[in-house]
Amino acid sequence: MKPASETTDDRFSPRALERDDAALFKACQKGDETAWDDLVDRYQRLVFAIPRRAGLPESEAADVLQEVFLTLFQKLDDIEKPEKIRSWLVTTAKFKTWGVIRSEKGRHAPATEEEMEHEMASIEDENPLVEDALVTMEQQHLVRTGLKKLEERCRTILSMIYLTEPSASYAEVAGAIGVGSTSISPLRARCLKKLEKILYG
Amino acid sequence: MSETRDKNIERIIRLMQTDDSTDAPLEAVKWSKNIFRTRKKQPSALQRIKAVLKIDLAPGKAVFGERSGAAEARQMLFEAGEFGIDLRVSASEGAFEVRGQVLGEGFENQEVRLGDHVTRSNELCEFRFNGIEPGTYAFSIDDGDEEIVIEDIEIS
Repeated sequence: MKPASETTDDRFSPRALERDDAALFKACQKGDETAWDDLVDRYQRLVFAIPRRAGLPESEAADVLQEVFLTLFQKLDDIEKPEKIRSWLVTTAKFKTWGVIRSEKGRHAPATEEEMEHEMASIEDENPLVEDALVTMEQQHLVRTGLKKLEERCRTILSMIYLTEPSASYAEVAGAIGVGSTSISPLRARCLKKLEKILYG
Repeated sequence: MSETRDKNIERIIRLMQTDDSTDAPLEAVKWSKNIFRTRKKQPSALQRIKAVLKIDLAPGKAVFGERSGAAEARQMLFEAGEFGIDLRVSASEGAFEVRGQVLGEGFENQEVRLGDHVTRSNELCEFRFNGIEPGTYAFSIDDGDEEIVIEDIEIS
């Protein structure tokens, strides 16, 4: 399924999740291994999605993922804005992905972010890493992160209805959480409101 | 307001329904986690402060100056430089519960260790360990710059 096109105008950037990221990152800087594990868990899917969206096979996308986290690890003490770690990871994944694509085409990898941006801008619409697609992937990442902040029952309801394909029926969801089918519609609405609150504040 | 909220919810649903991302291969995730294990701690930069026991009140003993309300927990107060550590030990379900607070700023949301037990302090620098067996434990908490250490706490 292709991602819905999002524009930079209607994106959300929940402060609470950014603060959460910042706290996690600061804990990593202090050497907290559990925090690093949590950070990798939180971002592996987004980082992996970027080279995959650009058309790299799974094994090369996995290499990009490892390089991104290795670079983050090496620069751990130099990153000054921990709350911007999401943007840093996305930019770095984009940069590494373009490096792989260019080297496969027998060209040098872009030396700077400016060079990469310039090159990306010069590519036609088929470019799989255009800004809108990246914005969508980031937003989907935030929805997934927001979802994890909900209580288990809400997570189950929304995941079964919206994140599985084919979508689960109300009867299946009701069976999973142990309530009657008629309760699912109002519960679903309440859970969506809670998620909206997390994401839009 | 409600219209905006409905629109927001529609966007969230659209984002969930179009999310076709997958988890990265387990091996790559594991590798990414393991690189952190190579990080060397920098003990030279970390100032170690050894805490000294100042007050140790057995359960049932009222705190000096308090007229009533004998404590149900053993209460200990340690002094560590400009910081204090308030520790309370109480029996709980066949083991002990150890809870406490760092008195002073800078140790919020940090890892706290009691022997092999690990927990995190909250925003008020409070922490709690459950299911502690009788024994002698080392306690420590650090904020990256300073580490407060209590070498031997006897829990019995």
